[in-house]
Amino acid sequence: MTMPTTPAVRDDPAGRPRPLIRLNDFGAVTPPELGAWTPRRTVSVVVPAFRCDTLPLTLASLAAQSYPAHLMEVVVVDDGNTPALRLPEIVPERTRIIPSRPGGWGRAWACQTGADAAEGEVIHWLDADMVVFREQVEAQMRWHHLADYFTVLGRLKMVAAWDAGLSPAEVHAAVSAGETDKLFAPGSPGSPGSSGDPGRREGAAEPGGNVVDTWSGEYVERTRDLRDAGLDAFKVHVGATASLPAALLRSAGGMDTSLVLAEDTELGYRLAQAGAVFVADGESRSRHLGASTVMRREQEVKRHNWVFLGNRVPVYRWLRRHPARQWEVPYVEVVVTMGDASYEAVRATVDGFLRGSVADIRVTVVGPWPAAPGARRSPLDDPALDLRLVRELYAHEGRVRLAGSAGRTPFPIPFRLVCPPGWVPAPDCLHRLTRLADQEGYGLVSLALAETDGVVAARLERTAAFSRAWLVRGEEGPGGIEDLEDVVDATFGTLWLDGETWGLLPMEKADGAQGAAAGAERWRRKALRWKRRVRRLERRLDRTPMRRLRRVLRGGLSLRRVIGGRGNRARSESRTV
Amino acid sequence: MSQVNRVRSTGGADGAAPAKRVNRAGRADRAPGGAGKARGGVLGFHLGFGAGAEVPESLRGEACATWVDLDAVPGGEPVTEGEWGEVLLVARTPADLRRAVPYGAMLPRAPRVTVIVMESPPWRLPPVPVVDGARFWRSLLDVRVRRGERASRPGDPSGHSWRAEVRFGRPAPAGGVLRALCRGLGGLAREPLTVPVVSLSGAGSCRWRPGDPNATPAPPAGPVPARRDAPGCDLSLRTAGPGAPAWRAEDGAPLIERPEPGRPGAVPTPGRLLPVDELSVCPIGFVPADDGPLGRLIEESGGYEVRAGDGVVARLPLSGALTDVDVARLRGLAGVAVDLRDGGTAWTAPAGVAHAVCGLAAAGVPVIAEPGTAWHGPLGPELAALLGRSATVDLSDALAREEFSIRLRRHALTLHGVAGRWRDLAASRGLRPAPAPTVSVLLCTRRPDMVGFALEQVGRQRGPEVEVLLTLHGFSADRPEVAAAVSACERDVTVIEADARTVFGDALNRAAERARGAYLTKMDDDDWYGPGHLSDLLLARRYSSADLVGAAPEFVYLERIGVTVHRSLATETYTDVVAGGTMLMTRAAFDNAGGFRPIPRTVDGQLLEAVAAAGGRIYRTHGFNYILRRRQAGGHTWQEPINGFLRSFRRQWRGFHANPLMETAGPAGAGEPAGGPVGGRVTG
Repeated sequence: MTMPTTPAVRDDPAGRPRPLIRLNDFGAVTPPELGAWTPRRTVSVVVPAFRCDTLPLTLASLAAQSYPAHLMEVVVVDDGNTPALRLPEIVPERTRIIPSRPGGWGRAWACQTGADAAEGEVIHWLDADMVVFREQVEAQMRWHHLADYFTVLGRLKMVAAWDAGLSPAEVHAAVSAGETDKLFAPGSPGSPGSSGDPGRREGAAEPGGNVVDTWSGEYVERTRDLRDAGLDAFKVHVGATASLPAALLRSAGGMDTSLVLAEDTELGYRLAQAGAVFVADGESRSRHLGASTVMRREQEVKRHNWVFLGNRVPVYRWLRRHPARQWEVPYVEVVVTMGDASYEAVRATVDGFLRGSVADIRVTVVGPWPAAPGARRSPLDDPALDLRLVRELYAHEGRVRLAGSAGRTPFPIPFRLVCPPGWVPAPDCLHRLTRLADQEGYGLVSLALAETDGVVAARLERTAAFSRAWLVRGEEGPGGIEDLEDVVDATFGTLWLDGETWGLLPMEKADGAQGAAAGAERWRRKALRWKRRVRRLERRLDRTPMRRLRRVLRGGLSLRRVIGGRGNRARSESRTV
Repeated sequence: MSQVNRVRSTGGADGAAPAKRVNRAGRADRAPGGAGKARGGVLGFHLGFGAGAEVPESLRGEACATWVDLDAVPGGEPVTEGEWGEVLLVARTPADLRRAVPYGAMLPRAPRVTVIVMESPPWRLPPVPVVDGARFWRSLLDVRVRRGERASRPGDPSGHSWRAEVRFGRPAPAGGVLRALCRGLGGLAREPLTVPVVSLSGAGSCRWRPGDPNATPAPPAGPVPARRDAPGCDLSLRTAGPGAPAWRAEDGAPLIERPEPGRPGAVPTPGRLLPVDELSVCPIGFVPADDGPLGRLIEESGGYEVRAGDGVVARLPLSGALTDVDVARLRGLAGVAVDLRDGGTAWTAPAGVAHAVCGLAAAGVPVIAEPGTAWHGPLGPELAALLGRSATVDLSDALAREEFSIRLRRHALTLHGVAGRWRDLAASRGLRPAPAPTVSVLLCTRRPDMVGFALEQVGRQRGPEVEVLLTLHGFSADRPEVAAAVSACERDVTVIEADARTVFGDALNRAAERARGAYLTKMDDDDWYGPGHLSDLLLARRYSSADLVGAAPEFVYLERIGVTVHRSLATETYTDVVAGGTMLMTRAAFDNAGGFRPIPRTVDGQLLEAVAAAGGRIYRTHGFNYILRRRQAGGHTWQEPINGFLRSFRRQWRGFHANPLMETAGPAGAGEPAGGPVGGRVTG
């Protein structure tokens, strides 16, 4: 492959370009044309393989890539095949097979094994039932030269049926010639029936054609390659052909190897929390051989995945409708720093959040927790008395964690609310704030609470926004938190609100639990009063036409009975409404 | 409507007679036998209904009056002779009524004068007569002012109709009553007059001096009737078509000839354009809407129409004269597009189009046009250049739209308003123009480090002549930073040292005593002021006739958290509160209100209360020239809690944000460093 030498990649002096991208709208970044730039970063294509006869075809198409061979390695992970996999004839120059690490199995496990063994700067996932186009890797790699927080998704289409006799050589030739799409077009060597095919695999050609788009493909098109997808972009993270910097994968914690399905959606969620931008590149094309499991057994897949995703992806709020249940990853981490605050102030705040309508929270109370029981002391004059009381109070509350410091990020929890002690949230405070933040995508919502020598404030931080800000600014960036917030403002947006309006009151003003209960009782009584009034009015509504009719029909006994019956019926109907 | 519009006939011989035609010359046909002589005849005048006496049917049928189109009257002599039982004046809008005022001397006397305004914008006061010293008021018997129903079209923002009936024991001059009613419409105790004194003759000449009670009507051929031991005018203006009689000047006042309004012709030369009555066609009632449709100005059936979608929003006469009611109807539009690309050949009366464009701009209606070079003359180069950029304005952005509107108003009101037009005309005829307004800025500070910043804000003011009365509250002028700042200021600065124990109100009063300007204004030491601040306030004073004007504190920089908010406050409206650091009033209004109260805080609020209590009107204009700096609570002035600014707002920016009219980039000047508090902790 010959590449023009004109560098079209934007470099900053430090070699780390960091474009400011608003939410997921990467429109400010323009990738170079295919074939018109000079690649420089290395990539490891990780191919997890289990019972895949199509692997030779996949590797043959990889061997025909436009991306420079010396920058690309291929790691095939043998996910417990018997007999063990062997490399076919046509493979890229630097290809190796490694066995899946012992102790586990499944795609996530194999992928993580491959990623750990990979040497490239970028990890490119590729399933073993794929045939990729010539520029597939190049198209994705050009983005990774423009920023190091992109997760790039290739475009794949499903091939329902193909010729069993399709040889790797044919695939290599077609891909090299840039005619991959012809492989599966009707009447082509790869399409069924062209060579008296005896073994059609699974599924038959769809009436709509042999090659069909996926739902995620349609979503990608609707959102201008995910530019308009905003906070939802991660939901189409399909791992069959995707790439990301190895460092980004590490910072997100790698694959969740406890998952055997839905692992790519879950990884997408964590990548988003780690600050990733999701780019769908329509020029990174590929064909998936055979219908996916999702397509064949959709309902069963959902039944399975919704349990596993519900536990791990808190932003799928519809999987967590239960008012009080707990899940692996909470929705909000509330941080309350004790400081000089009294036990009562901390208790008011923490209990306030625990009482809120958003139940899947974790409260971190930060303080210099003393050793228990410690040396002999006067129980009531102990300077650390309030700390001891708080610790005892929440020792057995599963949602409260006592810590020496809150840590830089609540990752993978999507929100962190920092609240000074002594301020009590209304029951729907967190719900309203997170809903507002999601409507506009805000990365930081600050609530002004009071003004003393300074402004006392609570903050709702979006983990994804702050992770992105760290990535953009870099660890060595100048300035303090202001500088970081400037980045958050440019990428996700920031907002200041009034605390009282949004439901954070000083503990002297908040009614507490009794107040909430009293309020509920008040509303219940009010509702009852209205209900009674409605019933009364309904009755009157029923009576009036009846009376009028009676007057008109004065006397007709038989008629009267009919009308009376109708009237009764109407009354009972209206009551059920 | 019928209640107001029904004109009761006073009986008599004319009681059942049909309404008479009005001849084009404007002179009423005499009824057989001389209706004028028969006491009880009704003489009707109408304005603003277009040529051909299109008075509403309801009035025409019942009034039984002899109708005169006052716009068509050539002026000069009394309209009719004889006595009438009632003079009826029907104006479509208050703006039309104001046009009748300069013709007051031509109106007859009658024991009953009735004025009907068919439609009045919501911001106008009811036409309650403000009685003056004229003798005829002593025979007053009865005044009745009644409100009619609202014009019923749904979504129509225009207001009510009004009917004012004034009865006297003996015939009184209708012109005097009209004048008193017009003062009432503007909420004025007395009238600010436009100089120089002019005579008006020819049809439609009243459009050159709307609302002027001091103009002298003159016959089309002259001469100008003399006043008591004095010439009738300093300048004569005549509107004349072809074949007008020669002008007989007796006192030698220069004559200005202008074509009759609404006549076809080429694009006029500058200065020949009708002025805009800025007391009717003005930014009052501006709506900062960002979702309205774009209207188009087109020529249609002997006039203009502003259309939005398929509906007609407003109809204008060929002269292009807007009224306050038309403007109120246009407020919901994003803007009005006008095709000015060619040399004006597409329009029957280019002068009318140019006048309409100036009127729209003066009212702050965003005008979208790309004027060809032929239009640059009549519109003025600044306005034309501004319109040339209009296509780039994003009208769906409320802030950009209002900013553009403000720029349009400035140019149009200054150049094409009645005051501006007559200043230029007088100068061109060798009369000394009125001097530029002088403004005394009361600036009182406790902070030596803010003196430089505050003087800089005054120094960048464009337009009026400015003097600064700098009160140093509790520190000496010898401090180096103060001395440096004072000497760096190019304005006339009077430094006053006040003892720290002097209460704030007293310190301000002491400064006011030494002020020499015609206007007093208060500026605060830590707020930002755009260079158009004072000139915009003076403009607002002119069109609102308010005793005290101020800006809305729309933009606030919350220094402690480093956030700028744009609050949702009603602007361009009469109200009782303005930003304390922007109050501007005449010396007389300040003295009438008794100055500032000698108290340490809330002196601004107390002055506003006093002005209102003294019967003054307070007007709040836009806040695009002003950014309030919200500092740490405490200090020597009361401050709203920071939460108040965050409770509701239109928009919010992180950091200091100034709109382009401020012409400033950063929060320069001494102050606390901007910065947000850190996670839940208290920062100082």
